[in-house]
Parts: sequence; structure tokens; C-alpha cells
Amino acid sequence: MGKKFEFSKLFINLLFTVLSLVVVLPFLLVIAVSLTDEKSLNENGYQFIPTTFSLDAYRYLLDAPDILLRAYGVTFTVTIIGALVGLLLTAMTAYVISRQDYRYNRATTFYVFFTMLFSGGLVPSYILITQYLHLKDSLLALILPILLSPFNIMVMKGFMSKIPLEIIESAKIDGAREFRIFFRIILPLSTPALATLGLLISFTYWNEWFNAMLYIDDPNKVPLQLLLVRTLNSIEFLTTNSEFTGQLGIDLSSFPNSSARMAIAVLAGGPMLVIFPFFQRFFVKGLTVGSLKG
Amino acid sequence: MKKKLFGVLASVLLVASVLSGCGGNNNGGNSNAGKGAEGSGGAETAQSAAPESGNAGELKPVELTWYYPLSQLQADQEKVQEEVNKIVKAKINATVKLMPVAIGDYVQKMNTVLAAGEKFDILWTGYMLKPEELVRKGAIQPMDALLDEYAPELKADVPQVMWDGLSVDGEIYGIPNQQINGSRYGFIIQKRFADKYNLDTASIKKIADIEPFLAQIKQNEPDIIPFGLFGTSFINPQSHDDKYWVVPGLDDHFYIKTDDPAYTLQRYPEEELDNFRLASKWYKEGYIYKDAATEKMNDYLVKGQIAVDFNVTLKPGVEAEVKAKNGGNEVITVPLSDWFSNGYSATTNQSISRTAPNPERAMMFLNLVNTDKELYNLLCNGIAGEHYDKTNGDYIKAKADSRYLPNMDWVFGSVFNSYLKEGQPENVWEETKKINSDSEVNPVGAFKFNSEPVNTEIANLNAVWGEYKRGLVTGTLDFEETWPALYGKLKEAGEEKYVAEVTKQFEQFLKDKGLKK
Repeated sequence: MGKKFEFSKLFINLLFTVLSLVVVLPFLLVIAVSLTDEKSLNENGYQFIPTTFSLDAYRYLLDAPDILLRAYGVTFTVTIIGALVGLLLTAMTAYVISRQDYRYNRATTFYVFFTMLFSGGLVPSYILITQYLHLKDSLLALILPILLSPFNIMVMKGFMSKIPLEIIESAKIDGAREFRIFFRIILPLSTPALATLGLLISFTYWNEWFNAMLYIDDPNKVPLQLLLVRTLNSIEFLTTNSEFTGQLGIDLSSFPNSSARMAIAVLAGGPMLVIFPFFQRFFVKGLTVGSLKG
Repeated sequence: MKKKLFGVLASVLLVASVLSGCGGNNNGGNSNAGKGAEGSGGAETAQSAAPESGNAGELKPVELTWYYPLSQLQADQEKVQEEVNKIVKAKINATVKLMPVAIGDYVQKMNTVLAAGEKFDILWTGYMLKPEELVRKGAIQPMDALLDEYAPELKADVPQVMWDGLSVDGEIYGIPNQQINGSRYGFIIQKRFADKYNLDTASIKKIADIEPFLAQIKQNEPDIIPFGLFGTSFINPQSHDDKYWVVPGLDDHFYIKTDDPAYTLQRYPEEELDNFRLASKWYKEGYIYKDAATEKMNDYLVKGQIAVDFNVTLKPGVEAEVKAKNGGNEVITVPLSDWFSNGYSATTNQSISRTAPNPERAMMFLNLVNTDKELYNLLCNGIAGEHYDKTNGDYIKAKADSRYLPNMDWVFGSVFNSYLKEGQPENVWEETKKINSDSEVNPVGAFKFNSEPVNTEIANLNAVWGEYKRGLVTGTLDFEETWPALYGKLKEAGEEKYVAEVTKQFEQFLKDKGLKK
């Protein structure tokens, strides 16, 4: 009996070892490549153990550490504020349209849903932000445009409409008013959904760079991802337009190429990788709770 | 059911009314903003009426905004801006807000900014943000009058051919950042192979003359690609050995004969097709890399694996520039043509936005950038002693840990005002100016095609060419087999309509220029 048991255990362990390797190895390769000398990358391709070790890619990206640190600061600020406020607003909107006894809940749901299908487009958004709201060079320009996502509202609504209306009614009978019901009953009951969406929203904020490209010119307010995307874009641009850049006298050899991209991946993704495990238990719960009830 | 439907309808109406309410508000805001702008615009015209004497003391202070691309944004940007403003303030009582944009984002960002009608003064235009396209969009303003009044030195400093190149419908829309304005094509050959096989460079007069050398490389150097052709160049070396001028601004398949006084348009002349035939032949012989149509040249170039490369700008000092890109191998150049120029190709310029609140002052500032050596070098190299050291004469050396090193002199103004960097010959700017003035100039270089009537056809044609071009240029596709099929597809895509429109506009251009009665 013992022997058979061990065999199946071995099999399961082996399976999961392989699975973990499949997940972890690419990360390791990215880190390894980021630490490899560009010239040896050209000659030998990607290797797990660098033949010529070099910190050039990081040196290139970390040229001015104060800029990078400030960018981390901006990204953290925007992510934290955006995730907290965004989550609260998402939950509030979702709660309202999930209440069956709210007369216009279909109309309001449609209103939210409608924005999923149609958007104003790039130029009108730009005009709105810069000329009416005067948010250029303000962190609000990074927070406001993606504060509410209709998709998140719909997910949250799906979760909240599973909460029985009777709970709310009984709370009402006990004398609770709307705010109390929302903060004391609905929010605690929705923790798994809140955690899941909170993570999604903070990922969105963490990865956001496009709005920053449009609205932020002040070098002190540039978020991390824009800094890194910029570097990447510039390298890409200069290498694909080498005919022109040759003519214009830009020295391409001074840009670390593949290694810099990998270093960017490490710098940009690193912190979220560290944060993810803390969220993970909620994340799993949020997903399973939803599926059990469905 | 009916009730439900009514409810939905009601809600749609409600939404619509809310939206239109917003729209109304926006309009209100808009007209207010418009009034505000008009008001301030009025104030500015009032103040700009004053400075005709050009005396800084009488000018009211204004702030100018200047967008330009940089390959890397600079850490000490603000410090340099402060220094720049000290000079600008003293001379024209203005301050400048420098707005560098990362080069990879430049086109998208500027298109958004321009489409939104944002108020700013100056923007860099050039090969990736073409002035003539901006003119058609109404994004930039003509500057003839401004140039005459506020920038006479600049106007005189720039050769007429450059002004012609920046004119659209007879009006100037850009100030050129002067730099080299000629081309000369030829081969760049790795010295180690030229020496090993005793290449007699004097014997190479035409493109095809390189063939025996390629054959030697092919035979004796298994790891080396004899000819570096990866489908990005080698299209129209003045279609095969100088017989034609290419008509600029089109799809590079329109030519006129160099000795044709009637300037008859030639579409796909035999000599151009010969280029493809030659590529086919060389591909079959194995001189061109077998995966050339899908690989990137740079990957092989940096490893020093390319023996011969074709280049269209063999400018002074190119050997030093190319060496690093060739894996550090020494190279020699074999020019095959004299210097020639398509007039001014508008590669790098400054334009003034249609929305500029202060076009006059912007022009004064641009005049200053192009004539004040101190200001220009401040923009290019930063602050002396902090970002670079003067070595001797006009030579400078950037500090190792400099926090301001854009290394893009051509983005700011005329490079002829820049300090010299190590390795540049002392007379580099005199030489370059000489090339600019001595190059043989394309007689139809100033032609500007208005693509609007045939936009659809151009898109279709580009799609067809996109499918075949790299295969043909690298010789991967056999020319004789491919061409009939390709030509058929081009015809379907609107070839004839495109040619007719080009011919019409070209004839008009010849008439306007007095080249043809």
C-alpha cells in the first residue's frame, strides 16, 4: 500500500515540478538575458547562464536613479489612490444597479453598458482633459480617465445581485439606512469580489502609460511604465528607421538592445510580482465564490 | 411588455438629453474659450504691433512653447532651459518652454496635439511628420511675411533651394535645420576582404562591377554574406547608374530621364526593372543571404558578417561612423556617383503652429537659435563646464556622466553652428556646405504631390507592393516570373488612376515652374 501511494505522490510531484519550471524558467531567462552582454547575445543568442556578464542594460536604464525613483513614486501614488477610489466607485455603482427594487436599474445598466460599446475617441478625450478640465501635467489626468471601467462594474454587479434582497430588507426593518446597509452589509459580504477587482484595477493603473504619454510633460510626474515604454519605443524606432538615423548621426551602438528590453521587463514587473502573492488568496477565493454561486 | 419598451425608450431619451445637455455645456464652454483666446490674441497682436523696431525693451514678455523629438529625454532638461531663457529673455524678452517628446512617441503625440487644436508655438517637422501633410491638414502656418520681417539673417543664411523644398503652393512652411543635403551612392566594403582579394577599387564604376568580388567571397568565405541586401534599400540608385532622376514624394517608381528636356514621366523604366533582374541573379548565385526577405540586416551587420554593403549617403567621415556598426571592422568606400540632391528633402525643420499665440516672437526665437552660436550649442550640448568641456578651438568633449547629452544637433537648428566633436575634421562644415552647393540638383525636386484625390488607390497599391517588394528587392522572388502577376495586381489596385493623377499634377507643376510651356 505504502509503495503504491509513494508512486502516485512521485507522479504528482513530478507533474507540479515540471509545471512550476514551465512558469519560472521564462522569468529566469528574462533575468539572465538582462544581465548578459549585448555583444555575446548577438553571437550566442539567449542563454540561461550568461557567457559574458554585464550590467550595462541596468546601467543604461538606471542612468539617473532619481528619475527612476520618482517614477516609482508616481506609479505607486497613482496605483494606490486609483485602486482605492476606483474600487469604491465601482462597488457603489454596481450596488445601485444590482438592486432589483431600484426602478431604473435596467436603464442605468444600459447606460453603463453603452459606454462599453462606444467611446469618444482619442482626440475628444484629449480635448476634454487638456482644454476643459485643465488636467495637463496633473496626476489626476492619470487617475480620472480609467477610474471606472464598465466591465468591472458589470462583474461586480454580477456578484452583488447574488446577495439576497431579503438581507437588505431585514436590515431596513432593523432600522439601517442606505449608507449603513452598503458599508456594513454589502461591502463586507463582497470582500472576495472587492479583492479580485482591486487587484485588476491596480494592475490597470500599474501598467498605464498611454495617458501619461499624452498628458504628462513634466519630467517629475512621469510614471514608471511610461519611462520604460519610452526607452523601448525609442530603441525600436531608431533600429527600424536606421536608414534615416544613419543619415542623422545617431549612434545606435550606444543603445543596449535585447538586454535592455529584458531589464525593462524586470524593473516594470518586479514589484507587482512581489505584491501578487499577498493578493492571491483573495484572488482564488473571489473566483471560486463567484463560480460556486453561479 | 409595452411598458417595458416604453421604459427603455424613455431611458434612451433621458440619456440622449443628458448627452446633449453636456454638448450644450461644452459648446458654451467652447465659445467662452474661443472668446478668451480671441481676447488674449487681440492683446498679443496689440503687443506684437509694438516690436517692429526689434528692441527687446519694448517687447512684452511672452512664453513660447516648442515641441521636438529626442531619442532620450535628458535629466538636466530644466537646468538647460533656465540657461536658454537667460539668453532669450535678454535678447527678445521671451521665455521658452522646451517640450521634448521621446522620438518613438513623437508622431502619435503631435498628431493628437494638433488634432485637438492645442495652443503652442513651434514644432519640429521632418521625415516622420511631413510638413506638406501638415499643411494639407491646416496644422501649420505660412511664414513668408514673418521670415522677411523678423528673421532676415536666417532667411539670407539658408540657400534658396531649401526654401523651395519647404514651400507648398508657393508659401514657405518650415525653417530647415541645415545639414548635409546631398547624396552619393556606392559600396561600403570591409577592408579585410578588399585587402585579402586585392580588390582594385578603381575598376568599380557601375553596380554590376562588384560581381567578381562577390563571387570570390562566396567561394572562399563560407560564414560571410557577400552582399548585404535585406530589402530596405537598393531600389533606385538613380535608376541604375545615373540615367534618371526619381520624382520625389511619390512611390519611387516615377522617373524622368536626366537628358530629357521635355521632362516626360517614366513609369517602371527598363533600367529600374534591371535592378530587380540583377537582384534575382545575385540571389541565385548566392551573393544575397537566403533569408534576406525575412531577417534583419542589423543582426548580421553588427557581427561583421557582411562583406559589401550598398549605401546612398557616402558623406565625409562615413568610414568612422560605419565602423562600429560593422562589428568594429575597418571599411573602405567606393563611391559610384557624384553628389546629387533632390533639392531639399525636408528631413528636419521647424514649423510654426496654426494655433500659435505668438507667431512673431516664435520667428524671432527661431532666428536666434539659428544665428546665435552660444544659444544653439547650449541646446545641443548643455552648459559648458557642467555637461561638456572645451578642449581646443571649437572642439568639445562631453563629460562622462553628463546629464544633458541629446546628441541630436540636427533637431534644433543649423548644424553648421555646432561645436566640433572628437573625430570630426576641422573643416567638416565647410566641406558639407560645399557639397550642398555643388551637388547636381534634381530639376523636379520641388514637386509636391497632393495625394488626396487618389488616397484609396495609393493605399491599395501600397498593399500590393508590400506583398512583393522585399521578395523582389532581395531577389528571393524570380523577377521574370513575378512581374507579370504583380503588374496585373497593380492594375487592379488602381495603377492607372494613380498615374493619371500624378501626370496631371506633374504637368501643372512643370507649367507653373516654367519648365514646359
